[in-house]
Amino acid sequence: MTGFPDDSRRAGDALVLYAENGVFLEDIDGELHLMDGRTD
Amino acid sequence: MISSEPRGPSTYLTEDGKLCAVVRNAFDAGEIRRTAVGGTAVSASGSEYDAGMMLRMLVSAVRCGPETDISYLEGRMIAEILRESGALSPESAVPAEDTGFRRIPLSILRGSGERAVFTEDGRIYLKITGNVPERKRRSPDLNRCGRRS
Repeated sequence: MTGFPDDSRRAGDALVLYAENGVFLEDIDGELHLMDGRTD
Repeated sequence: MISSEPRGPSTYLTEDGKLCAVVRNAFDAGEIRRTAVGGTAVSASGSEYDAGMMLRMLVSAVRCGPETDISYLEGRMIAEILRESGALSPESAVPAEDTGFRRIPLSILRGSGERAVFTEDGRIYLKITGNVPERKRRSPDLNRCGRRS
């Protein structure tokens, strides 16, 4: 599993569950969110 | 005789309350969450999804939306995997199991300008059969669903 092992906690209640190639799944207040962190 | 079975769950991706993609016969949120934390889930085709496969499926759903079926997306994902692997000829074909999918839905690629082809020894490659329409060659665009600002 890849992602942010040392920084899985983000601002607020968001938690990165899994990340790959700049795209990640976040848990925000118990809801799943598909996020795109790429800068292209 | 005509028979039937219950449909699988639909996966909805929304942005600010607006529906931007739905995948029929896919996964419920609990299954997606389970893969994200190290578990697996099995699709209607019998393919096992880990977190990477699930993320790939969700990105494909956004790209191919607004409404698709898991079988269609699996066909698109197989095409992507074969392209990324460089399996574009009989000589460069890869074992079918390397795609990660248990069932290869060949017909799903119809009309896309691409076709998955098996070699005699059971390997598989992506055959480009025609021009792919521009709208189907776009890179993933998550602007409609979750681009981080």
